Amino acid sequence: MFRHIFLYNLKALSRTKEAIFWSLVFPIVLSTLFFFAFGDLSKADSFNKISLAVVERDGFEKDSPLYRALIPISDIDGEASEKDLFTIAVVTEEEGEKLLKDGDIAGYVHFGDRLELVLSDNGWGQTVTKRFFDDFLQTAATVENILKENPGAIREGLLEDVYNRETYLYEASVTRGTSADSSIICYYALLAMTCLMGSTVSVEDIIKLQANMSPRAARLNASPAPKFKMFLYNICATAIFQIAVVAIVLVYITLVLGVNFGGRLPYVALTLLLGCITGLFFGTAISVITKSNGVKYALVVGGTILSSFLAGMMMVSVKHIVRQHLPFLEYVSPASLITDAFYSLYYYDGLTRYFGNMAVLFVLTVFLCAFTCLVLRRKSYASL
Amino acid sequence: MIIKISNLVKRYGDLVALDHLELEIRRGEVFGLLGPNGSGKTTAINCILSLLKYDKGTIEVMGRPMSPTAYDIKRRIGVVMQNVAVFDEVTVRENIDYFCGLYIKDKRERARLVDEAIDFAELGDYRRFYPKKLSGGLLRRLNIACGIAQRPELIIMDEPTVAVDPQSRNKILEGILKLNREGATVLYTSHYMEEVEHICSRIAIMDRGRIVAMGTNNELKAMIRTGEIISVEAVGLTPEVIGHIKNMPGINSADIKDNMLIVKSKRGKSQLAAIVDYFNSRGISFSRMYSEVPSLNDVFLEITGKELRD
Repeated sequence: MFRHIFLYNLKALSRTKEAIFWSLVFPIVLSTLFFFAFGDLSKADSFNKISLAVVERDGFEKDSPLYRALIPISDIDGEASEKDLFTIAVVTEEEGEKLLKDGDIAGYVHFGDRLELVLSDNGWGQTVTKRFFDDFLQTAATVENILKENPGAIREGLLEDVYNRETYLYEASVTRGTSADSSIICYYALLAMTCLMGSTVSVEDIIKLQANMSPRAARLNASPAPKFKMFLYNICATAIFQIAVVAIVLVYITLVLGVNFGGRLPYVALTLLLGCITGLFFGTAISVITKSNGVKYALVVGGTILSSFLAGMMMVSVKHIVRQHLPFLEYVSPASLITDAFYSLYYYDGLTRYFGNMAVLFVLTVFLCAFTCLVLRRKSYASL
Repeated sequence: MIIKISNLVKRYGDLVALDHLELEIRRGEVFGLLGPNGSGKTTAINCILSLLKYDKGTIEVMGRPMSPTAYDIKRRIGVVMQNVAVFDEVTVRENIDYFCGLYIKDKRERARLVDEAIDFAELGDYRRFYPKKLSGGLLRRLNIACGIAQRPELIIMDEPTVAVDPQSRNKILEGILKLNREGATVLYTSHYMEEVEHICSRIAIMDRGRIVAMGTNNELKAMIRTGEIISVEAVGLTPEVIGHIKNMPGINSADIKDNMLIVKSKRGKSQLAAIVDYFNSRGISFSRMYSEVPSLNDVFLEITGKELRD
């Protein structure tokens, strides 16, 4: 009996266009939109080195102050590092002009009696370059003044490190060495929503078994198959369907869109698994308390979207506002719990917070399941 | 008795849907439950199947009390719902196989039964079709095939021919008789008296949740005073003429209905010749005149004072 009902439900689900659309196509489309919407945002967060050129002239020598000032922050000495601010090419003036015209460099530098910086249009690279050279000129002027006042300063070694640029900021990794990306929270919420979208599918598992909902359900109730068993077999098939769908969405987001969830795949899979089951029982629990099909779907879709909203899918700040002002909502909103579990995996080394979220999610799932079973066990109806 | 209902009461708020219903259906018969819409036929069936709670009374099926968990009894009952009850996402064959699989575990036996049901409903050309692609008549036949594929001892059919074209209806009715000949007891509800007259060995007429008459077709017709109905289409049917016919011996009533004179005579000798003689003596010409035996509608009309189709 299990195999019979399970396989037919799986077959029916795989042929249901609405289920395929809402559970699979919609999240994929939404994640693609996120990708394009947040692609530039992520780019703004990441740092690209500024390309510059230095025009090789008489004044530009390897022991010149500017050369020494550029060494720690560029590859001018032929040694590149991740900390470099500039990538510098030594060129002729004609080459420099051409590179600038083609937009390959932010600007180029002339040496001569006085330093001359030629920049292209406005941009953050040009601003940074200008600030650096302003700083250099200011320092050079200071050195000149010192030498006027104290010609022996060089001999005394007072100016040895004057052009060195050291940073005194210590970069401490919050957790796992991953760079924080605020847009990732939207993908978390999207995955949480995809898990909860299973609720729209599981509504049908209830409708097809409540004799007062449809003639088909009445026929099933008149059959010798116990209703509770049919429910279990159907929900198993729906769970497999939903887990497969979520796996496809996850693969799409990670492999096709290249979104990095920070590794820990087994935990991610565990979260999605529990999230799917929560979603299914979220749908069944709402479905058993209302008689109208329209109301069932409205409540389930509305609940899913509201939960995803609270989890920060539409606006990341909502998640923080909820945490600050209405923290209890996070414990009853499945999407918030799923999102927070992902969040914990992504940002924290330890798993305490992650397992805390999973425990609450599990309790919520057990409650929704028990509630569904309690109401569904009703054997006959006052009216059909 | 395959079904025995005693003193069954079902209320929907203030409305009494079943009013102390008493009903016994014998094994091997095609039993017709006839009544207008809202008379309680479907409610009675839903109570028999334990889908509905009821306020009072007892229901026994196959000699044992029926309950929602009486799975061994349910295993022997086939149900054809009033509305089509199939899955849109699976094909004709898969639908029949699905419902049959709830009763029959053995895959090979089930495959045989499903094929037989497809042949029975003449759906062979449509076995790979999805229900949405079927016409109303074919859908009804699929609905029936899903209900009878497992070869049940008792088949409960709730208005299976509603909105079905005449050709499909005839096939369905012939199929029901075939099932009965093969040993199934059939409980058949309808508000189409012709169908019930055609296939049912015994008939119960329901009105307002009660059985108002029960028996064979002939027994029911024998319960009323009318023995013959004469219809006349003529010009010059004045009130004086109608009054005179009413007063003729053996006549129960004479009324104009739809431009026709309808004369109902008492049981016994036909009054057709007497009416023809009267028209000739008064020089009234008529274009049509015919005599019929009363229908179940006449039985219902005489017992309840209203038409079966009201």
